[in-house]
Amino acid sequence: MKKILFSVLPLVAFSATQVAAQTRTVSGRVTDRGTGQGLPGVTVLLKGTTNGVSTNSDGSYTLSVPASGGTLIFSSIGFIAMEQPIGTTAQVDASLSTDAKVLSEVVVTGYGGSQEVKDITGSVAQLKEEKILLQPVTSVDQAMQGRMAGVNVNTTSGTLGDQAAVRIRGANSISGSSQPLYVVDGVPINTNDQSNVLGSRYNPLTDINPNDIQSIDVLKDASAAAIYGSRAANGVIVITTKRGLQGKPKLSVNSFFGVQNAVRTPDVLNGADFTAISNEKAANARAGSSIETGAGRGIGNTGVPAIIAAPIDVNGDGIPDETNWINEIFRQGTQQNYQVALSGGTELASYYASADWNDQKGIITNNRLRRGSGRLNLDLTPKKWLKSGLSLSYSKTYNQGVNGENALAGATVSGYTAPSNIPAYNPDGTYYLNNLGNLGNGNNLIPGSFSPNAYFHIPGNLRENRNDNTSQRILGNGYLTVEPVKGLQLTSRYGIDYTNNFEDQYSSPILGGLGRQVGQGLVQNYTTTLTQFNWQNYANYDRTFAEKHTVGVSAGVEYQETKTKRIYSVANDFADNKFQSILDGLYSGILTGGGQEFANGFQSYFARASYSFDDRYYASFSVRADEASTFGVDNRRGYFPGGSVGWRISKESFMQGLSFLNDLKLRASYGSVGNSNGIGSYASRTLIGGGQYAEVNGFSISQVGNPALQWEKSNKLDIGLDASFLDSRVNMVFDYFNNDISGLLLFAPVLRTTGIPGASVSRNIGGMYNRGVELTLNTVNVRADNGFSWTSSINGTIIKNRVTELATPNDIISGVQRASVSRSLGVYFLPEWAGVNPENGNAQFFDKDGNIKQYDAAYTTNANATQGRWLTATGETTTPIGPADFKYQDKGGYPTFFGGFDNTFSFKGVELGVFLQYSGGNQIFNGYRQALLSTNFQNNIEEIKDRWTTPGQQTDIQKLVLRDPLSNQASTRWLERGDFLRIRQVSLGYNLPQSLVQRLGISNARVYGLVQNLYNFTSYSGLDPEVNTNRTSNIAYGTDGRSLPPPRSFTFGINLGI
Amino acid sequence: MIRNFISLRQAAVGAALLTTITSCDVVDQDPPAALTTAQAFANPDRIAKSAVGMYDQLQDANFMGGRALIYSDVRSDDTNPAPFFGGISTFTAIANDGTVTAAWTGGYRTLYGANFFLQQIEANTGKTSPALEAQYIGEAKFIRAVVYFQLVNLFAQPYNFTADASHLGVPLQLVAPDVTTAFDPSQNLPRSTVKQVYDQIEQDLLEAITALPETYTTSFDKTARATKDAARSLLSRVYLYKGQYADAARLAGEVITGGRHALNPSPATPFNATSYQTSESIFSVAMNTADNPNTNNALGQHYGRQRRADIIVTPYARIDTNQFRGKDRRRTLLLDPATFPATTTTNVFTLKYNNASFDYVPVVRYSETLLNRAEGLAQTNAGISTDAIALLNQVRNRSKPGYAPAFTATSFASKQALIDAILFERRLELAFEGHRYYDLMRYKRNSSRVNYGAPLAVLPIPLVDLQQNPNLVQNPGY
Repeated sequence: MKKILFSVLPLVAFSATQVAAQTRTVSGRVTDRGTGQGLPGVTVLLKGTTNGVSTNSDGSYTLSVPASGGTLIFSSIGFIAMEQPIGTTAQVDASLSTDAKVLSEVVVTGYGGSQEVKDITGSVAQLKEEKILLQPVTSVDQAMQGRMAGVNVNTTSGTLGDQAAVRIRGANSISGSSQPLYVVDGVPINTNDQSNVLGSRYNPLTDINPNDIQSIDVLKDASAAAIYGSRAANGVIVITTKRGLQGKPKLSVNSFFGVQNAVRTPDVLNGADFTAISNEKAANARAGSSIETGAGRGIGNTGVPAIIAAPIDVNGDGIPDETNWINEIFRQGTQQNYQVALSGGTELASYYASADWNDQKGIITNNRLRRGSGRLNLDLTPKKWLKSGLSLSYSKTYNQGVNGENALAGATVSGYTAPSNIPAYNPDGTYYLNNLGNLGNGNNLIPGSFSPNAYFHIPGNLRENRNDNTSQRILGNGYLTVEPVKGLQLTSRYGIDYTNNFEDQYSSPILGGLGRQVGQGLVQNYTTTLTQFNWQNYANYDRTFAEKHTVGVSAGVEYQETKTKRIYSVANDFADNKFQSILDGLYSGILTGGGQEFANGFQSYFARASYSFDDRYYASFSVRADEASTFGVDNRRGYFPGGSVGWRISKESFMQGLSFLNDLKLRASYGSVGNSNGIGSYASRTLIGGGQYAEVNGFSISQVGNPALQWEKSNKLDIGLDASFLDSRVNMVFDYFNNDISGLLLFAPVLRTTGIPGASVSRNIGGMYNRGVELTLNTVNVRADNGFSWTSSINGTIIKNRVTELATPNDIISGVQRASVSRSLGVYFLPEWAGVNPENGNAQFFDKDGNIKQYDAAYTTNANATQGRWLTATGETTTPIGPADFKYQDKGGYPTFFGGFDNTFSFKGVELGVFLQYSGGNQIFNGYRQALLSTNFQNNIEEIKDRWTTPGQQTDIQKLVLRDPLSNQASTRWLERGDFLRIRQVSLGYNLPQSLVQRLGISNARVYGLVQNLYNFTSYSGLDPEVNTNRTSNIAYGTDGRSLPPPRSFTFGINLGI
Repeated sequence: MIRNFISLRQAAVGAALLTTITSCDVVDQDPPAALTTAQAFANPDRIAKSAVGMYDQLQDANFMGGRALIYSDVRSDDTNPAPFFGGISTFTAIANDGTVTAAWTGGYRTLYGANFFLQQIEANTGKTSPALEAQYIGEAKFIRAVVYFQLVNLFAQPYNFTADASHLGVPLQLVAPDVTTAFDPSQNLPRSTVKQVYDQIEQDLLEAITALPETYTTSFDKTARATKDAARSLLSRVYLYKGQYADAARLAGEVITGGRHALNPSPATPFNATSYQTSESIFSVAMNTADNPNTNNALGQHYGRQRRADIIVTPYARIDTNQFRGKDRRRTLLLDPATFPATTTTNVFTLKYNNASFDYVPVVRYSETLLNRAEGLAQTNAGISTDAIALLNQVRNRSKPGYAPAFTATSFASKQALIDAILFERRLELAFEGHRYYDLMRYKRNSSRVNYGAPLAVLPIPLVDLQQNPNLVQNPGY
C-alpha cells in the first residue's frame, strides 16, 4: 500500500482545459497480456499533453483527442508502458505485459511492511477487490468462503448476523478461540462476539462494508505472522481498505437487489398423521413389552392415556384444523444494497470516501438486518519527507434477531416440533393459545407429562417479541510518517475500535414466557461498550545497495488495551401493551439492573530484517516480545521468532534454457507464534467476587486461578514452491505445512467432586498438530483470437490433525465429541447402532465385543411407569449399553479436504462466472434428524412413517414408545458423511458497450445477475451439510443442532462509474 | 544550507516521534469486580461477608436453590412424571443425564464454598473475634451437612439398605482444592460408605450445634442463617433416617422446649412471600427478586401453574378425602384447583411455590420438628405414645376441618397405626419440601413408579466423573 503511494509519480495532472478545437473520440480496452482480462486503472494519456483518463473496471476507456494524429501512452504500475499511435481509427486497444522488475502485486505484511508477491518467502494468500465486490454478502468472512487454499470458512447458519467459523490450516486450539486475528488498515480489531448476553446475534465483521475492501491478505505461516506474535497462531487476516489514487476523481455507484429462499425445509407430518403417530406412541407404551417373558408379562403403562392426540375444529367448518408450521415460519427473504464511493487525489493529498446502505430480510419471519456505514480514508503528503493520513469508518447495524436453535421458543425448535393438528389462529384472527399463553392444546392432552417442554406459538413469538440489537462502531486510525533520511521511515499510528452494542429484548404478556409471568410485559436492555486503543511506533529502513543487495529492517513498539463495560436494566409490568420500552412512567415493576466490566492489555516489542540478493536469494527474520495482562505474573512475557529463506531457481543460469518456465521459486519458513484469543481477561487469577445472599452482601469465589498460565505456542513449518509456466498462463502455488502446537491452553475440566467453580481450571498442557498440503492453480485455459477467454482458479487443501498430549488423564468431552490423544480433534465417541430388530421393533446396539443388545422400551413391571430393559439378541436380560461399549469413530467433525474451483468465461463484454466449493472427509452428527424422530409427544418428519409396526418388517426406525429415552440416544445411527460439492455462485455480467455508455454520460456500466448456493451435491440427509450449531466450540464442531441452513439467493446488480 | 536546515528539522520531528515511545502501563489490570483471597479475609467486615458468601453458594440453582428438593418429590407418589427433569422422574436417567450431572456438580460446588471458607478462616485465624470465628465455622459445617444429606440420599440407597450401611454412598470432599491439587491423583476420591457419610454429617451437625448461636437479631438471619435449632432439627431427621429414634426425639425435643419456634395459625403462611421469616421457618435458603436461581430453576417456576408448570401434583390431590379431607386447609389453601380432581388427567398444582423466582427454599420447618419428635417417641414407646399423639395433633389440627375429629389414644389400633398416621401427616404437611420419597424409602416402602431397593431408585453417578476417576464405582443397573 504504502509503497504504491510513495513510488507512484504523478501520472496525470488532470485539467479542465479540454481541447477546444475539433476533437474526436477514441475508445478501446486495455488487457493483461498474461491473462487476457481487462485491466482497470490503467492511465491512458495523449502523448505530450495532460489529457488523459484511467480505464474502468473492465479495462475500457474513452478519450477525446484532436481530430487527427496523436499517440496514446498506456501505463500502469507493474506493467511495461506502451505507446500506440491513434491513426485514423476510433478504436485503440492495448495489451500490456507485466514488468518483472516493477512490483505487480504486493501483500501487506504489517507495521509498514509490504512485500511483492514474487518475493514472498512465507505463505500468504490474497483475495482481491474484484472477488469481494461481486458477492452479495454482508460481511467479509462470507466472501472468503472457498476462495483461498488453507482457509476454511463455515457460514454455519442462515440466521442473519451469525459469525462464520474461519479456520486457517485447521483448528489450532482446544479451549481458546480458533478464529484468526483481523487487522484492518494496520490496526488489530476486536472480533470476539461480545454481544450475545441475551442470545442475540452479532457478527463484528458486519461492521465493515465489504465494498470498501481493496484486498484481504491471509498470513498463514509463522514467518509471515510472527510479527503479530502472541495473537498469530490462528493466522492473521490483513484487510486493506481502498484509498484514493492520484488522477481524475472517480465516482462509483453499486447496487444490488436479491431474493432468498430456504433450499430445504423439514417435511413434517400433517395433522392426521401427527394424530395417528402420537396415539401409536401412547398405545405402544400402554401395551407394554411384546416379548412375553419375565415379571412384566401382560403389564403396560396404563398411566399413559389411550388417546393423547385428537383433531379439533375450532373454526367450525366441518374440517379438522391443521397447521403447517414450517409455512408459518419461513418466508422469502430479500436483500438490497446501495453504495456510493468517491475517490481521487493529487500529489499532495488523496481521498476515498464511501457510504452504503444494506437492508436484508431473512428467510425467517421478522428476521431483518439493516446497516448503514460511511468511510473516509485520507492521505496527505505536505512534504516529500512527511506523510500523514487517517482511515475512519462508522457503521450502524440494526439486527432484528430471532430466537434460534438454542432457545425453547426458537423458530427451529418449537417451530419444527409443534403439533400440526391444531389451528395457528382463532377464527377472529388472534393467536391460538392456551391459558398459559403457549400454543393451544386443541384436543390433545397437555404435552407437559409427555414431552420435556410446552410448545410455543412461534409465529406469535416472532411477531410479538423482540430480540434486537443495534451496534454502532467507529473504527479509526491515524498515522504520521517522516523520512528524515532516504530509506528510513518513522511512523506513529494510533487506532481506536469503539463499539456500542444495544441489546433490546421484549417479552410480550400475550405469550407464554417471562413477559407473562412477571406481569404485563418484560423489557431487558443491555448496553455493551467496547473500547480498544492501539498505539504503534515503528521505524522501517529499506535500501538497495549496489543494485543487487536489498535490505529491509523494521523495529517498533506497540501497546493495546481493550475495555469492555456493560450495563443493563430491566423493567416489567407495563401500563399498556403498546408500551414496550423502558421509558419513564410506563411501568410499575422494576427488576434489578447491573453491569460488568473487564479489561486486558498488551505491550510488545518487535523487529524484522530481510535481505535479498538479485531477486534470487532471500532471507528474513522477525521476532516479537509480547507481554499480556491476561497471563500469570510469572509468565506474562513471551518471545515469538520466525524466519524464512527463498531461492528463485529460475534465475540461475542453468535454468535459462527452459523457455516454458517463466518463474520457479522454492521457499521455506519456520517460526513460533502464540494464541491468547478467547481467554477471559483475568484467566490466571483467583477471583472472589460478589456473593449476594438475598438482601445481604457477601463474597463468593468465582474462579480458581492459575498463576503459571501462559500462551499456547504454535511452531509452524512451511515449505512451498511457486511456479509459472507457458507464458505465465499457468501459475501454481504449492505448500506443505506442519503446525506443531504445544502448551495448548486448556480450560481443563476437573472432577466435579473437587467442587471448583466452573469445574475447570485454565492450564497449559496439551499438544496437537495440523499437517497438510495446499495447492492453488491459476490457469488461462482458452484465449481465442475472437476475444473469448476462459480462466480458472482451483485451490485445494488436505489436512490431518492429531491431538498429541492432554493434561487430563482422560479425554476432554464436549457433547458426543472428544479431544483424545492420538486421534483427530472432535472425534466422535458413540455406541454403535445395530439397526432395528425386525421381529419386535426394538432398537439394537453393539456392545464392546460386537454382540447385539436390544432395548425393550415398552417393558414394565409397574402399571404407572414405563421402565424399559436391555436384552441380548436372544432375549435374555442383560446390562445396559454403557460408556465401556462406546467406540471412537474413524472421523471427526472437521473436514479433511476442502477448496474451491472458480471459472470465468468472457466474450465481448459478457462475463460468466461459475464458482464451485467442495469440502469433505468429516462426519456430521445429525442432531436435526435425531430431534425430529423423537418419541416425545411432538411432531416428527415424514421419515417416521417408516417405523416398525409388524414382525418381520425391515426398517431403521424402531417401534415408537412414548418418551423412550434410549432408542434414539446418541449413537452412530445419527452420523453421516459431510462431503459436499456446492455450486456456490453462478454469475453473468455484461459491460455495456462504450458507445452506449458514453451517450449516457458516464464512463462505464456493468449489469449482472447471480445465484448463490444454486445446488449442493451431497448425500447428507439433513437440511445442509454446512450447518454447524456449535460455532465457537473447537471440539463439538460439526453438529447439526437445527441451525437454520444457508439460503439460496438470486441477485441482480449494477455497477456504474462516473 | 537550506538543505541542511530541512534535514535538521526532519531529524527533530523524527526524534520527537521516537520519544513518544514511552512506557504505557496496560499489562497490570486489576479486576474491577473481584478481590484476591487475601483481601477477602483481611478484616472482620470482609470475613463476615465471606461467611455470607457460603449461603450465596448454597443457593446453587441446581442444588439447594430448590432442585435437590424437587428430585425427591418428582420420584414420589405425590406427582406425575415431570419430563422436564431429564430421566429422573421417569426412572430412565442414564449416566450422562444432564440434569443428574448438574445436581452432582451443584452439590459439590456448594461444598467448595464451605470448605474454602473453613480453610481460609483457619489460615487467617484471629482476624475476627473468636465468637464470630466459631459461629462462622459452625455455619460452614451446617451447610456441609445439609449438602451431604441431600447428596447421599440422591445418589445412594437408604441407610437401611444394608444392615451396617456399608453400601456405597458418595465421595467425601472435605477440602477446597486449588490449581496445584485439583489435578492430583489424591483427588480421585472413592465413594465412602453411606455410614461414613452419615457419620460425617452427624459430626458436622454436632460441632455446628456447639458453635452456632441460638438465634440472631434480624428476622432475616433467624430464618436464613444457621442456628442451633436448625442443626438440632436436621440432626433429628438424620437420626430418623438412621433409625436412632430416641436420639431423634431428644434433639427435636430440645428445639421444642427451647420455645423459640411456633406454628403459624395458617399452613399457608410460611409459603407467602410476605411471611417467609416467621419462627415456623427454622431454616430456609433465602431468595429475593434480585438474587435467585433464575426463571429456569426456581421452585416457583417448576411448580407454579402460571409459570413453567413442570410439576403436576394431581396424585397428591387425589389422596382419598376420608384421609386428606376435602376441607383440609392444605387442600383449600395450598392446591390449585382446591377441589378434588375428578380424573387423573385434571391437572392440579401446588400453591406452596408460585412466585416467578424468589420463593424461599424450606429446609427445616417447625412442623417437621414436631413430627420428628412424634415419630421418635412413637417408635421408642412400647405402646401407643400419647405424647406423640399430642405432637401429631398439634400439626394436624391446624389444617384439618372441624368435622374431622382430633386423634386420641383410641384412634390407633396399634403402635404401627400411630407411626403410619405420623408418616401420613408428614406426607400431607411436608409435601413438595423434599421429604416424601425418602420417607417411603427409609420405611422400605414402594413409591408409585419404583419399588424400594430397585437399582434405578437412586440416581446414576454422572459419567463425566466416572470416566475421569478410576476409584469411582457406578450404581448397579446404570
